[in-house]
Amino acid sequence: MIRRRLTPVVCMLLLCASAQAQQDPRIDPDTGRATAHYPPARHFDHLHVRLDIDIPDMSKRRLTAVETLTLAAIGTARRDVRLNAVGLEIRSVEVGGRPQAFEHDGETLLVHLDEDRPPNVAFDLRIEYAGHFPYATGEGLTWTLGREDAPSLTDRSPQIHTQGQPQSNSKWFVCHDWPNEQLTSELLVTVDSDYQVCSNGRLLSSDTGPDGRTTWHWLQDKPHSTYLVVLVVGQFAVVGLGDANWRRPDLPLTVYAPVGFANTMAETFGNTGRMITHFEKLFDEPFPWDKYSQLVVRNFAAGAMENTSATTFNQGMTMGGDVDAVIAHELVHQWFGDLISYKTWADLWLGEGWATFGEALWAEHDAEPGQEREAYHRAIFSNLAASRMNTTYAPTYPGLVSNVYPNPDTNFYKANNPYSKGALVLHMLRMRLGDDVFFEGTRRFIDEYKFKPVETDDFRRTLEDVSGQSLERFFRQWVDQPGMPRVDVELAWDDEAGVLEVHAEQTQRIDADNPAYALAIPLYVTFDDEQGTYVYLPMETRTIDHSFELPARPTDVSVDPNLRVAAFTRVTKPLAMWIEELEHGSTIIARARAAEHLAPLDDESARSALAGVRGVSAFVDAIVDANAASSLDSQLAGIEGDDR
Amino acid sequence: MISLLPVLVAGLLGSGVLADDDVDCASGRREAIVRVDRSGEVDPETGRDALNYPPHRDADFLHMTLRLVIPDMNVAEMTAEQTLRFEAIGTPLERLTLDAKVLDVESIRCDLAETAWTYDGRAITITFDPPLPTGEPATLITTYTVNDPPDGLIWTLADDAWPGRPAQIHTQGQPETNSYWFPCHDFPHERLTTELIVTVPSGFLVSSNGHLAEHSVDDSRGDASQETFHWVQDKAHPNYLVTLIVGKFDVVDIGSPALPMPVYVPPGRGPDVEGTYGRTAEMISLYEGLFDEPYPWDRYAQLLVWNFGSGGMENTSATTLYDTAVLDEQALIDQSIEGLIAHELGHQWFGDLMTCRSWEHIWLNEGFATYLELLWMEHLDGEDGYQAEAMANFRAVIDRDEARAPDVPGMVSKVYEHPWDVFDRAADPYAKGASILHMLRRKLGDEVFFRSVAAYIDRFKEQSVETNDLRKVMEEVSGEALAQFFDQWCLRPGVPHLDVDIDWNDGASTLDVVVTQTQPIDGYNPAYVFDLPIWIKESGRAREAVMHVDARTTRATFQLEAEPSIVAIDPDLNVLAELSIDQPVDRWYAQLEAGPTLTSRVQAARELGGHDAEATLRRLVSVAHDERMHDMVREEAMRSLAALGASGRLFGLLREGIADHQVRRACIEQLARALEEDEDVPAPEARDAFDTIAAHAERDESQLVRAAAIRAIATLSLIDRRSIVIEATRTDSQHDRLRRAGLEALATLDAADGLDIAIDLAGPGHYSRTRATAIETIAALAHHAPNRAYDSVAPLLRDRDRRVWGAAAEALVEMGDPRGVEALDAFAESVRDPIQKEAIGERRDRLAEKVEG
Repeated sequence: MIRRRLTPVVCMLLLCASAQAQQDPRIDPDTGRATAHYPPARHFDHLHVRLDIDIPDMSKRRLTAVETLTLAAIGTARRDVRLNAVGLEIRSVEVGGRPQAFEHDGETLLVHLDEDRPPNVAFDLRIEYAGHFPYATGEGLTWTLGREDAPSLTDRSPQIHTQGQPQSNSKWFVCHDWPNEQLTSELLVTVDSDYQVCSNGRLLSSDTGPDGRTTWHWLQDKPHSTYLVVLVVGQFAVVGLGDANWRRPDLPLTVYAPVGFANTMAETFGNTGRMITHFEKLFDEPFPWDKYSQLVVRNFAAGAMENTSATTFNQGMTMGGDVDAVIAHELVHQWFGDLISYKTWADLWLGEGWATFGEALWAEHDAEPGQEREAYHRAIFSNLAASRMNTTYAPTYPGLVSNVYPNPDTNFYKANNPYSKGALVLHMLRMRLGDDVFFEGTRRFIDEYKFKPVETDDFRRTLEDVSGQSLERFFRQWVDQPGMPRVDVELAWDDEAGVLEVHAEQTQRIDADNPAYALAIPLYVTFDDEQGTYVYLPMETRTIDHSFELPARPTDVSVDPNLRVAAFTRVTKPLAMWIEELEHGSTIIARARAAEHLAPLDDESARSALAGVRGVSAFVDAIVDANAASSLDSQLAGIEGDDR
Repeated sequence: MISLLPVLVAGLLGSGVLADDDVDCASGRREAIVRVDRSGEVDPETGRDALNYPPHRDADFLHMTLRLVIPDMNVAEMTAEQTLRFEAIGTPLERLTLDAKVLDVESIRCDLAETAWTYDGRAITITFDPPLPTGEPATLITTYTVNDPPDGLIWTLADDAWPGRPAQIHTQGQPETNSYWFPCHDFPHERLTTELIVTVPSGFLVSSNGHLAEHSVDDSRGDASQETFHWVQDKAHPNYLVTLIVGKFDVVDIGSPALPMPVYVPPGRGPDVEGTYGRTAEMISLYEGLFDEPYPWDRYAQLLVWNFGSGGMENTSATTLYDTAVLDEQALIDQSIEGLIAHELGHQWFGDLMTCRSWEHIWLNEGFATYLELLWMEHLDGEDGYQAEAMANFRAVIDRDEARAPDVPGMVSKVYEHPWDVFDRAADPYAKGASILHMLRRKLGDEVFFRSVAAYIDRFKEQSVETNDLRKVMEEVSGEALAQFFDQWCLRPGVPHLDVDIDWNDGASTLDVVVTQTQPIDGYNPAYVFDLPIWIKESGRAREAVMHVDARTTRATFQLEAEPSIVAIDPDLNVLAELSIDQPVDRWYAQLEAGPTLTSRVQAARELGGHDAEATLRRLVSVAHDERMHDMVREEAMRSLAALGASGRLFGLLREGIADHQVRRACIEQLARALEEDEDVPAPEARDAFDTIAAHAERDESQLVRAAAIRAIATLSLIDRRSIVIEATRTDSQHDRLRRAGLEALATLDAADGLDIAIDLAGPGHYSRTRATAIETIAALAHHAPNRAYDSVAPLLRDRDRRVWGAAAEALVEMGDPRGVEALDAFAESVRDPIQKEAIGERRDRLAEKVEG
């Protein structure tokens, strides 16, 4: 899912507010209870859900449903079925025509079966229920009424869309509402014939009866997580993206656009086919589902949501900004998050990190020839920038992967962010393992775990098997440990000795819960008339002094121009080197970092160098403008000071 | 591995553990030895992450052929040619690092590339030009000499002091010591097939892993002076499980043509093999059946070797055991070593077929092997036998393991100084590991538990495993969510301590139970979460209730028809917790006699040790006396009698006669304890008791009882009975049990005339454990004749047996003679192995500090 992006100011406020909370988040002090969230048991395997939904009147916000859940006990014979059913009116529960005793407290439906169900033997639980959806909360089922004065028919008519992530699908059907369960799904929805209905998988039929109402029959016959089941009902212009370039009748691509915006949307989503082709090749895995629909819906609470084969978009998300990034993000989810699902919300980054990393992969692929690396680097650098205010530390703050959270929603927003930090982790792994091994590992991961829920450890193990590298330390420091390394690097050239002296210090909080990072920081050293060369600064303690013998006086020493290490560096080196890096830095990241350093300087040569590169790169220009008044570091000094 | 005397191995050696640098600047994890404080998660000085991470796997090793030539078994030197087949992983291989400790390396060549190599005494670093491609196996041939290695390969020479004991070699690879005799990636996450071709002087037998492919006699000189044994292990196993044994043995095969099961015992002990090892085949069928997995290897050999550092070591298909692990008829009346046999056999699946991926997961080896002992006891003695073992494991954990994260490491933790530390931590991978498996069985039910272990084997056989692998399979098979269970029991240290208040409310006819967790609770150590079973007997009817506990304090109320006669908390050991239960004593009486399980009856016997009343004493005596009662209840009753100071009752029990040796031994131990603690025993009564104890020390038919009585003489300071003790030091017995008990007693009694005896027994010609005990006795008695004591111990630093020189070094520290500093310095100077050097240096520093202080 893409959330609306928060502005930096809001983030900062959130961070400050939470930094003041000194209470240990891992425990409830009164009872001593752990606050960690562990997944619920899976006493039954949920094999299939069939929902017969009747919508008598789209303007009435009420529906009735007959749900058939195909279950099989796991492990041992069982009699009690515990299900989530939030705010639904349960009318009956039956097995084979026999009514079953049940308790429903408004949230949990506990069914006491009339006999033990042996393990691995499937049976159908038939549940009749009614739902009333007067409030459009953006969670579960959002039922928006028509707005009479709207220009588009789509907005003038009522519309339903659902949003299951993280645990909201139990607000419109009865389910095991946790991602550790995968099932196939089938929706039969009867509604006035004016409306289209879309759900996961493929459309088996849409038959109109004598009463003028149509029953839409959708089937997702590949197992997916409960939270990915989707229902959209509304009046749309359905546009096929299958133009002359798309020769795959087995994989229809459609956009559900607001009526009147069909052509615009077809254009907006025009790259979808190319993206699918690219990611299929990169992952060596065909697009997993029967179709790919992208639905632009009303009143959507988030940015976009990667339901299997049917992504929903916020209208606003499609109107401006880098829409391709959003499209690529949700598309990559169809593999990461949907095909490879994660077992718990702690492992969310395996979806969101990959989807965000996918934005960079698409930018890299889509760039003009010769610009690929720069495009990729820009995307990665922006993820680093998004983590700049991450001054969190253990145990007060949860790491990227942590089951300590107040509610699953907060996982999407936390400082050790599954999107931006997740993408950085994947980028670092790519740098560390090399493209061949990294993507080979990715492919093997998909092969091994498709249609199975994974944990972060599974990903590590696959990468270890493919590379031979021991990655536990990497995962501990980047994935488990909160925060980001901040490294001051002082570079000094000793002309007499022919030695580059490097003093480096990690300045983030280091204590018994927060060890120093183990880093190998690349320094790209360039000379007057030679090719540049890399040397590596190995660092696993708070401070380090290291000297490198060099053949000549370097013109520049560029610290980690490829962002091999997602660290915030503060480099001390001669002004001439900064100017050299601004003008001739080997990557856009090097040039951007030089611009960041030079922009606030009150120095004529700096100003003139900056003026000299003005207009060469909009990306660099923006950084210069943002830093002209004062350095970002000094803007953030107040926050960081708290944590040192 | 099972350790008899963990102190001898653990803590002996110190090593600079190597920093695992971040990737490509890391030319190798072994480039520089960096001393890191690994006592916690972070080195406070530098901020460095002090956890132990596995090394990188530079290459995938496929096969090793090791050719060894031993010209003379009495000259500790062999020549070796190693052929390693391996393949680059992921990317072409420029550089390979192999662990190789104090070898004399002569040459290295590779079939696919030019090589250059360096060797620093710890590791060989080989560079390849061009880099070795992926997907194409390369062959590396290394020739070297093994010259009396300080560890890993233990070479016992023949000695005039012990006539008839031929020279012998055995190896010990766990945790990372096989690299003392062959270069390898010495970490458990790598597996390869191996082949050993060993040439020895005629008359010696060679054993290794797998099957004997060929055996030839070299008659080229016409004297058949050399024989060559060619062993092949064609299923991949980790380097630490490679074994080599060369010696002269009685070999008795207790197996079948389909599965040979030779037992190698010291010459002359062949006739005792059947009595000691006769049930090995039955154990194999038991485990094969329970886990639905055939015994994995070509044969199952059990080999008894001299000077073994621990109890047993589960090398694939060829377990090594200590020298006295064979029992004659006299010893068999006292004991069996089937627990040990079952443990090492269990490892052939758990540890060998599935191997811990790094040392913090050692419980996947040791916990299972220990648990398989329980299963054997269950097979022999049913539920009582099983519960008795389970209780012993619970107790061992509860007594040591504290819920103090992060200051103490959990059972599965990367915090350790040395790999062998993980075997000996308070959160014990043996006892706690077995207890966790037992709890899982209770949680999942027998059928699902065994099915999930079988699934774990199916999924991971011939692979290395992490703790999560077991959890995930169990979750899949059972449908249960086990992450919290594994977090709190495996990752966190400690166990819950529970105060259980049981109140009967007569008016409401309710039983109110309040459970309070009293161990420290904080963010690192949140309250434990578990289901606590409560067994209630009311008016002749039994019912089982469950309390879900997840907070510091949990309350439950049970509506009953009448006041219950018994309320047994956790009678089947579902929860590894220290229980402190508050309820009326009458319920304890009822539970003692009619508790639903052995556990509940033992619990009652134990609790009654805190209820001083004539009625209690009477009931405890009655139980202690009752031969139909399980040994464990009887022994616990005696312990409670001792706690209540009832020496007279205990003496009465002993005098009346106790047929069972174990119970008799317990009675003597408890009687001694009661007499020791109670100063008011009338003299004549005490005299009688001393006489009886002395009589048992002299001529009980059981050596176990005799040893206990000898110790009792010492604890009771019966110095005038020391002739019995001295006589014991001259008496042969199983495991030298009497001799060692005598030595210990002499030390406790501070008997000056014990010094000469100890000095004699510390010399060559005795079992190494006896020698170590004798050295400890010398240290204890040294104050009677400091010079003589020092002069006898100092030369033992140069003894070939590490148990002996280790004990001698420790004794020098203990004795505090200033000359010891120099002796230890000289000794440290003479050894080649930096780990050994550091260990000796550590003793030296302690002694120096003591001398100066």
